[in-house]
Amino acid sequence: MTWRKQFLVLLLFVIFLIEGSVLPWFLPDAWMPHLMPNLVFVCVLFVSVYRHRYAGMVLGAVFGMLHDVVYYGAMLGPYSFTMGFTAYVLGLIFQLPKAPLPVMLTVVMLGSFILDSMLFGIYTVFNFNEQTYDWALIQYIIPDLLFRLVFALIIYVPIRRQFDKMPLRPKKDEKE
Amino acid sequence: MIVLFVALMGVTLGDRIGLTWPEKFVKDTVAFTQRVVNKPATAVSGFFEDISELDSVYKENESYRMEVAELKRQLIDYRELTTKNKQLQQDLNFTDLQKRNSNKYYRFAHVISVNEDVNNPTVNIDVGSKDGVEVGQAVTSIDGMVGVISTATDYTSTIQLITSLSLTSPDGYAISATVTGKEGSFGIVESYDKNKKRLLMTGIDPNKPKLEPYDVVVTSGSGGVFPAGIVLGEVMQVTPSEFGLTETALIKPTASFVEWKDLFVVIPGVDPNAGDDTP
Repeated sequence: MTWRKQFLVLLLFVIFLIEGSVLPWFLPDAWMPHLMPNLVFVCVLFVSVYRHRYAGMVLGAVFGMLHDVVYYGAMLGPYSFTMGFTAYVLGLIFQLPKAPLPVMLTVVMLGSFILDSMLFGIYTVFNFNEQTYDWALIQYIIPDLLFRLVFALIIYVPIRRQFDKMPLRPKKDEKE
Repeated sequence: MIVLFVALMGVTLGDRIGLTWPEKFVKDTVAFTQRVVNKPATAVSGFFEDISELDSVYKENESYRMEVAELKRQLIDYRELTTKNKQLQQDLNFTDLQKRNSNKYYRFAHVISVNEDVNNPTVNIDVGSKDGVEVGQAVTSIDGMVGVISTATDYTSTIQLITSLSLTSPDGYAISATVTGKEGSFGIVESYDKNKKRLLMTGIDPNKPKLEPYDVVVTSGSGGVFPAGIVLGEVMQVTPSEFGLTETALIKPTASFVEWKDLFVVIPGVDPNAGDDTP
């Protein structure tokens, strides 16, 4: 049954590729300035709720770092830090292997909101943006939240099925 | 943990010379797979776009034919002027550096992935330092300037969009700009207003020829950072600056920043692939 884990990582990488190289060409142009899909993050949240917070944190940090390196514009680290941190905190609060759909959707909404707010905070601290938080909220934090919510709804059933098949082995997960 | 990340962000902030090899390795490998994924995606989306625009194609063709005829006429004038210009440069003993500054060539590039982060918008393209791309070079679309190369590996490079330009940013830079057809007009573009979606051109001398709405702003080439003649946008509004000595213009960028297809890296100097007779 271990192949499911490898498969999960591979799947996350494929989603990472799709959100950068495929989605921008298919989303309507008017949405572009209001949306950063970051679908990998939604999947990472699933992992930290249904598996373990440490697994979520490690995956979040690794894929965040990948995002930081590949789209290196200003600095390395913001995505890695925020994705790992948010996945850990939400895993700490909501980690339930049998969490129903409404709980999971709440986690996605909260996670999306925390992620974007933390990114906004980091870029403000380093003087990269001069906008107010109100502006950011309307311009992209809320549209992001809705987009990720819809994505979470779509992937909920298949992912849940896979996680239910995966035996829970908390001891092994602790080591990660 | 948090301290570690803050340290990492601090260290990688601002001007860095080159990338370390793990970064280059990751970037190049990911870029390769992105290119594989991206090719069918652009093809399919291009196909749907073509279908939706089918009815306007005939009209467009008509207007293009007119434009081509016009351009052919202008090309003759242009050739005459360039030969004359070259002759004059020789007569006036231009140094190599001056010649290099006025020369530029466009390196064609495909977009392979887009980072839609509002705070830190970047785009990856499929040309790198092996193709002569270096950090700090300007990148344009067909319509106008879109950004500046922020990192370059052997086979790919990342563009930091002009929309992240800001006065306070540690990554800030200034573009010296001028208006086409108005001799002596000069201003500096060094910030982008995200609320109004306009570039700000500051330090315009009010005694020089007056800027008017719909004037086309291009890079002036003075300062030697960017070559002359890259289109930035159109003037929308001119207002006196805070202290009244200079004027500030709001410029609407001509590039769209949403429809990513093909871009051109502007490389100063003479095109190595071209023959000797072209300047």
